[in-house]
Amino acid sequence: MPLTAAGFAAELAPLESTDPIVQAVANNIRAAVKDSGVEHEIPGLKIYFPDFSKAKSDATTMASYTKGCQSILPSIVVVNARFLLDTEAAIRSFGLYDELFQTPYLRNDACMFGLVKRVREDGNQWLRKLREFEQEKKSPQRNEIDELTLTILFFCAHEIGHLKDGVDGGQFVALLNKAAPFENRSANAAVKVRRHASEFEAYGFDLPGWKGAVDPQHEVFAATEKLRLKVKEEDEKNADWFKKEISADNAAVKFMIHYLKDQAPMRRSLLIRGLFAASLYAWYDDFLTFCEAMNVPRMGTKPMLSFELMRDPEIYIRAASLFGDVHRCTILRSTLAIQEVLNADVNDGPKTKASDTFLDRVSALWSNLFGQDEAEKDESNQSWKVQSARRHLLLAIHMDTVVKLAYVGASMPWMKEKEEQRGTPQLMMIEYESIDQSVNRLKRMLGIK
Amino acid sequence: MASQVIAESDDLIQRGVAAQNEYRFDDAGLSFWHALSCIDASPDPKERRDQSLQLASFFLRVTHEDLALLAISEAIRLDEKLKDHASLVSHLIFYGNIHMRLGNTDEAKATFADVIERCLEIEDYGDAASASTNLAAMTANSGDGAGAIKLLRNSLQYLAKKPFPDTEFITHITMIQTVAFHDGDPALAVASGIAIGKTFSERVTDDLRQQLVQPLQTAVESYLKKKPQPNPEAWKKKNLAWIYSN
Repeated sequence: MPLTAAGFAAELAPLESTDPIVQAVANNIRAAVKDSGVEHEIPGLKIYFPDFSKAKSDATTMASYTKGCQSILPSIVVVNARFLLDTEAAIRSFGLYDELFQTPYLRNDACMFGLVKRVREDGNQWLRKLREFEQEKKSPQRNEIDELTLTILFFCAHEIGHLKDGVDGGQFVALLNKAAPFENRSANAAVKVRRHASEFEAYGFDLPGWKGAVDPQHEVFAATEKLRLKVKEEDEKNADWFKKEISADNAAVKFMIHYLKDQAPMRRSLLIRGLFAASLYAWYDDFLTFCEAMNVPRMGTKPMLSFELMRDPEIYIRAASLFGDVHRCTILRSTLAIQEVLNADVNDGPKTKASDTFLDRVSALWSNLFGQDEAEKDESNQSWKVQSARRHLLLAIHMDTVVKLAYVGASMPWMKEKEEQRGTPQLMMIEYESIDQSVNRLKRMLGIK
Repeated sequence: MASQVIAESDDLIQRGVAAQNEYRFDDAGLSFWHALSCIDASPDPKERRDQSLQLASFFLRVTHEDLALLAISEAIRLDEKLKDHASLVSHLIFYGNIHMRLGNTDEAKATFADVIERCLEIEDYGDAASASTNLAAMTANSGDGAGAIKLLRNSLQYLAKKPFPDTEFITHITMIQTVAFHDGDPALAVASGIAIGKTFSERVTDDLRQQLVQPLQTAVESYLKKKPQPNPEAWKKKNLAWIYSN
């Protein structure tokens, strides 16, 4: 029998995390939600932060269990305390560096994997040291709890969006499951990644030469469409879920804009820092899981995804798992959220053309934001803007791998058709950018050596 | 003789080095992290402090700055526990220097200010000068020339009480550069130039001389306008030969 709200409360309340930082963040979030007045729309709204390791039986079998965050109708949001702590570890790790370009994790993919491995294998100890380090700092600045609060608040606002839409079991993040098999159905994979490619295209993340994948008039699109008809029912269900996720993201952005409306501009930078660290970490967590499971070899510090996909294009089908089941790409949603929150600050919006790429729009937005302050010349304000702009731009640039996987993956059915007609396989190599390549691209863009 | 914990830590370092040599920075970072965290098991705080310090230097050398920060922070905490004030100050300077190198200016500045205060309390003028010079460089970089020059003058006063040639040399160089970039009193730059010529000429490399020639010559010209000399060229050759000789 499904649990009632009282049943969920009885299940979750005893598991509430006793970690002091989780408690502090939970209190901040509950207060922010209360102030927002959203409880008028969702009476009896409750947000739980359970430590599922305290469960007496296997927590994963509990109806309320989630690896990240989830909504439970009519009025419950669950944030797994472990997820919050891992996000805290990512935020504190990146928080060791004020200047983005000094961050050692961004030196190469292996360094990013190193951070993920450390949190995975020894997360509590790593976090304990980071917290101690913070306490011993000499400067008065203490932003980590604020940064974590704003980031988790955004995730919770997404779940609240699901509750408003009457969606049960909506989750902010679908982390790649190491134990579950990766996608192996070519039709599902191609259709799924095409959905993502179409969304990327709509936001200005295109891939020159591969537009046929998302153009309904093109033969590449038609080849995938033939496969889609075979999985039509499942696709329609997934497309519907995808829309719900987009709706929840939009609700989260609106919530954050409203929440930050009358606050100091510096607070936006904390949200940007938090979303940057959390989404880049989440992407590399999934990417590492994928590379390990697929035995993707390394050349130097870089996983040779290019060679593996050239050697065995079937891996594109497996790679569809990196996009989750029905979720939008994590880096994309963070990038979009930052864009929307900042757009609200720009009186007349960025002046861009519809044909501009996403990166053009991000650059225009930041030019506009910097332009607004020319008279003010507030050094600390300028400094947070510089650092925030760099993070925002880097996320947009580092969309490279997911954009390529989506466009090329969505073109695979057509390529397969062509190979069959020709009777010989097509050798195709796509270069996937590592984090250092993205950082270097950003530096070139900003004229930094 | 090193305890079992230290031997384990050293072994993990070797494993990390092997991984790093193969560009497996992820596995290297993990081994290095374990090398740091395993020493928590040592019951001897002095042993833990000494190993933390060694690890901090090592991590910095192999570009794992996050671990270097945590290791030196651990050493500082243990210094306080051991009430070893002399070590504490030098480790705080090390800690401030890492932040300075990483561009964490707020934390670096706060650390150097803290070091100056601690050192003056115990009349450790050498370390006070070192921290004051570092703080001056950062203050100058953030646009406060007057504040930086004040800190450099303080450094020279501390050094007069407790000579510390390395710091004095750096302080004079920083003074010349700060006066040039922030329109400071040219007499201060000239005095530093003369001091370098008298005491540190052997340390001046060609590169450094190239960097200092223009700011110092500019300062000299301004200085001589205010304090004319009967024979300026002879004065220059006599006092600042290292700048005016070919």
